[in-house]
Amino acid sequence: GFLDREDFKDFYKFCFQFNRQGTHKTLEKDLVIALLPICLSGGRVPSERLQSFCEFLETTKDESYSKITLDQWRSFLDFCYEVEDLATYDESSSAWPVLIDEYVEFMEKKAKDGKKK
Amino acid sequence: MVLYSQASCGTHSSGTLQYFLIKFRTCYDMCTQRSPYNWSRDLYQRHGETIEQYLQNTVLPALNDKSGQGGTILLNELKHRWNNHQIMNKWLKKFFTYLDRYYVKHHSLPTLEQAGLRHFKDVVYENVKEQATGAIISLIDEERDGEIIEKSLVKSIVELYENMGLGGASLESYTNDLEQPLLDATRAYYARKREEWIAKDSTPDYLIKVEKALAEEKARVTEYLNPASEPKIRLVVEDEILQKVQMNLLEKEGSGCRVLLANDKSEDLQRMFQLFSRLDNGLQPMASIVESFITSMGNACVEKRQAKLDSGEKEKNDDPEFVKSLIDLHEKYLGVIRETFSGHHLFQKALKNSFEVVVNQDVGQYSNAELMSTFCDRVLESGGEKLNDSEVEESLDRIVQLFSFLTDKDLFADIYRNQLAKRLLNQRSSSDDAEKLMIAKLKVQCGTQFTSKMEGMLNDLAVGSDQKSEFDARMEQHDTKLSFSVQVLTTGFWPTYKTPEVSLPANMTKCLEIFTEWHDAKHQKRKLSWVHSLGNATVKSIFGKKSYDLQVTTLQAVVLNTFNDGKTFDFNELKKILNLNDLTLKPLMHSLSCGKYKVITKTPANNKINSTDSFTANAKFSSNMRKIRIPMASLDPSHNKNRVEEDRSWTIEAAIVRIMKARKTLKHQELIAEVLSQLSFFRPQPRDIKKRIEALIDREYLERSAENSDMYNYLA
Repeated sequence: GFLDREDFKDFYKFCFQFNRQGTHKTLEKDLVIALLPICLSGGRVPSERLQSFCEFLETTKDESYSKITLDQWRSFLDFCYEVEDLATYDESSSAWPVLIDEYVEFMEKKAKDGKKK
Repeated sequence: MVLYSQASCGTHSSGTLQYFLIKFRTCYDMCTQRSPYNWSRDLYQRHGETIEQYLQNTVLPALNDKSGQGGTILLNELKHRWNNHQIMNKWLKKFFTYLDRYYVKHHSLPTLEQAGLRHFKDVVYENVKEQATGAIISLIDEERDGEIIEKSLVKSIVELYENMGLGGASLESYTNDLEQPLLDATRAYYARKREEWIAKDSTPDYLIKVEKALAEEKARVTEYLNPASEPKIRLVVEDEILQKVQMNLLEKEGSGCRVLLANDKSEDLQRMFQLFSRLDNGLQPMASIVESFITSMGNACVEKRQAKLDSGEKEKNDDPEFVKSLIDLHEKYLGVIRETFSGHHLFQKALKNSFEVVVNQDVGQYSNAELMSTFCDRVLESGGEKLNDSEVEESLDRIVQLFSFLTDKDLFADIYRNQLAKRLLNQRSSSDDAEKLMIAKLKVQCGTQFTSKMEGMLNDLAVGSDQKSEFDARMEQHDTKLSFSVQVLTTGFWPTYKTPEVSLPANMTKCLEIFTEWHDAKHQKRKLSWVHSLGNATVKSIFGKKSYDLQVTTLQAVVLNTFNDGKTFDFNELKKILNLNDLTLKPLMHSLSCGKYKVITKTPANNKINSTDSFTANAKFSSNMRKIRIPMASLDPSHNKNRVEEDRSWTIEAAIVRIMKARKTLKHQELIAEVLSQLSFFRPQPRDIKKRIEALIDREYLERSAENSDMYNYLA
């Protein structure tokens, strides 16, 4: 990509802020699901991670995630950079937003169900 | 030399003073002559040699002679020889005192006494000690098996050993030559006994034997061993018969610790406690068993409650049986710990741990916090439990103890405040002192902040009653034909109530105006809001020829007043006249027309209020009683769970901000730990704390550190 990691973080943050409507501080979840693949195109983030995260957002029934905050948006990218292997994820010491904790939980459950089949 | 031949016979001559003086003088003379006639050195040498020869030629053979004949015989001979030696040593020393005084000192030689002992040690003791030790140990083992032995004999020999530690007070010989073998033998003996006992004895029986053995060993040392051996022997015995089988004893089927607890075997438990106290960390395993036992007893109470609910019993916010069962359980084991376990802190902790688990197990719709608050309500309300003052205090004391184990203390406080308000406003509290007592106890547990609102409520009432007579005087100046009093509540202390702006009749409005005028004159800065949903009235009413005193709420009184003179209204008309909504008017009308005392007639007559109904006063109403209370459903919910949740969110956020403001930057895990330690009245999940952190990040109180995704910075 034409930007290194740190610069890209700024661009990525800008993507969120640019899309905000009026005085709202958050983005609708559906918009986020559409935006993420665009912003993170070109292998910035492993495609599997990107896809599964969007799937998680789509399927979660938690009302509080109907709007996504800047903190959650930014944390997703940082999370992708820092945590490559979900198996190493430790919720008890994690400072990541609860959204990420629940995403990891979602993935763990998926893996378990996959094994059962 | 005459002296020596006399000495060598080894017996004590019944020396007269004369005899002694002759010997002493001779020695003196020998030692004070000028050289080469000074015999000091020779005398000293000869002294040693003579003793040595005597021991070698006479004493040792005599002992060897007795050696194959059994322990006691050898020991007796040894005792005899040792006694002789002591006497001989003493007299020789006396005779040759002059040598000791000058020659020995001058040349820094061992004194005559020391030399004598040394010779005994080298010639006799070293050759005989093994057998003597063996003999003593055999005797001791015999005594352990219950036989009688010659204790004084053993004691004498022990003294020999004690004296063989040269260099004054050294117990070296005793320690190495007797004590150590004895410890080894003790260990072997008790290891054997342990295997014997553990195979067939129940735990209590085994422990009785342990107690006995330890007492015996202690007595033995006092009777004929050196005191230094007491702790060493004790440790060996404790190790062999207690330490090594500790878990076995505790967990023995049919008689282990759990069984003893279940059957309240306090004597056996006390013995067990005292014995295990002797061991290093000996009480922790026992305390763990006690903790798990009490927890299972508590869980049984919870399961009983669950079973009741499962069997279809109607759920109420009141379960006195359950609460009492927990209180009784706690009291029982408080007593057991005090008396059987000497109040030991490990056991107190065990009780606390188990109750913290049990008390927080909620089953059914109503939390234990609520059940406990309702329990207090019963104790504190008039016409509730009939208890005298000390019983009330005791009950409250015990419920507060149970309360101390509750995690959701803030939930309890919220419910308690609501119930307190009801008691106070409906004058259903049996005693002001009892209310204060309870609040004081909660204050001791939780601090001033926890009880400040409750105290505020009581204070409002106290102020009200103080000012009542003043206001009454003012009322008398006006002629409203109504007897009227007002209770002022400080907002914030009391639960929030609905304030329906009902249209009051003129005479009531006048009363309100009088009060407002009087009040505003006193307190310019305060604003009054009338809470008509609370408040009571007594309505004097005449139905036919009979008159009644109806005890009703303010709103009911207003409705009744509307129906004076036989007027009829339908529901919607009433809504307009009274300025009330459906939510308020329906229960109101229901209480007056569908309850036990139908003072208002509803058309059509059924049990549901519809907007098409019409109402009029029931001219045919009658009752045997003169005073009638017409109850009405409360318009305000008993307590708001959501509000407690909201309050928790605020409290967590306030804690986070406080901590971050002080620390400026902090790692995630440290922040979580700090927050949890500051929250005393509830315990949130880490995820909930994280959500609050995220909310604060969103509101820009904090930010994530750019360098370290694990850290937060405070944003001023």
